[in-house]
Amino acid sequence: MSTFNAETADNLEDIEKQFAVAAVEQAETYWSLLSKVPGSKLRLTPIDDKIYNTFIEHFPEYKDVEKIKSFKEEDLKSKAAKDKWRKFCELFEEEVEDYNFGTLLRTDSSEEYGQFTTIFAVRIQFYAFEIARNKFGLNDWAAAKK
Amino acid sequence: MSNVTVVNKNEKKAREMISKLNLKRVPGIARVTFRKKDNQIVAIENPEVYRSQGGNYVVFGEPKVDDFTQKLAAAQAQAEASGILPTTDAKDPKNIQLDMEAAAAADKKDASDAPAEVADDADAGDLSEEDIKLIMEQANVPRGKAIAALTEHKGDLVNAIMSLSK
Repeated sequence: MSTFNAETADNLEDIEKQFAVAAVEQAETYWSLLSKVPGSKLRLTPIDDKIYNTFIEHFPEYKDVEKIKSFKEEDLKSKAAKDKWRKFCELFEEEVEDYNFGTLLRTDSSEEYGQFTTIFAVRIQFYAFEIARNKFGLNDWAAAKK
Repeated sequence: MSNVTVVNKNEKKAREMISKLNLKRVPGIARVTFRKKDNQIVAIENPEVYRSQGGNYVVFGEPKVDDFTQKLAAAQAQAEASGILPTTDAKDPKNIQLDMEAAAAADKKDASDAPAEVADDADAGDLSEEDIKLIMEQANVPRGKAIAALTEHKGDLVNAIMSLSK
């Protein structure tokens, strides 16, 4: 017997919004960290180095620091790129918590999270870019601002 | 009360008597309930309610022992057991979020059997000392909590801080 009741069932939209809420909270938490601690001193996960090395191995074009610094949404969301990212993503299923959660990612590390400088990515993409940015000190300006 | 409902003749008589008492019908009453000392509730659905000029009320209708609260509790227990309803009734986004977190936390507990609380002098194991200090500072929590959160989140700094700043 189905106990589903249309009158009392959760609104799907409300549940979906929770992902957005969680993504914003994650971004806020990360940004508050970056504004207090220089990114180059941060360690986001116990396997930052492994994530970075695997990232460069799969996407050699991102050896170029300028491409880490800023990119275009299309670079990540073209069909070819999506296929590559999907494979990369699955590599970290076991090791990275929430590896495939929707996460906000800045398209330009010289900007704060902003309406036109933020895209919706997955957590492992966030780590790939932010670990690389922190490694090259591209986020250090946030903590030095005050 | 039982006289009123069970025996129709008596009811007729009572109605006749009452009609002589100059009672006024009170319209629009959907339900009258009586709560007894032992918290049992007797309810009359769609009653006929009359009011005397002195402010006394006369109620006609079929009284039923109302087990509404029991029914509700039983239904809820069933729903909870089948995992469809969370333990709270409120369905605002915050509660949904809490439910999801609770579920996620339960999952993780099962998987890793991580301790919920760690004493303040807990062994940090292979956790980075800097991370622990950073979490204590950022989330404003004692060392034990920082270690517990970091352990629970597999050393994920941002997630650990997030879980503590709710």
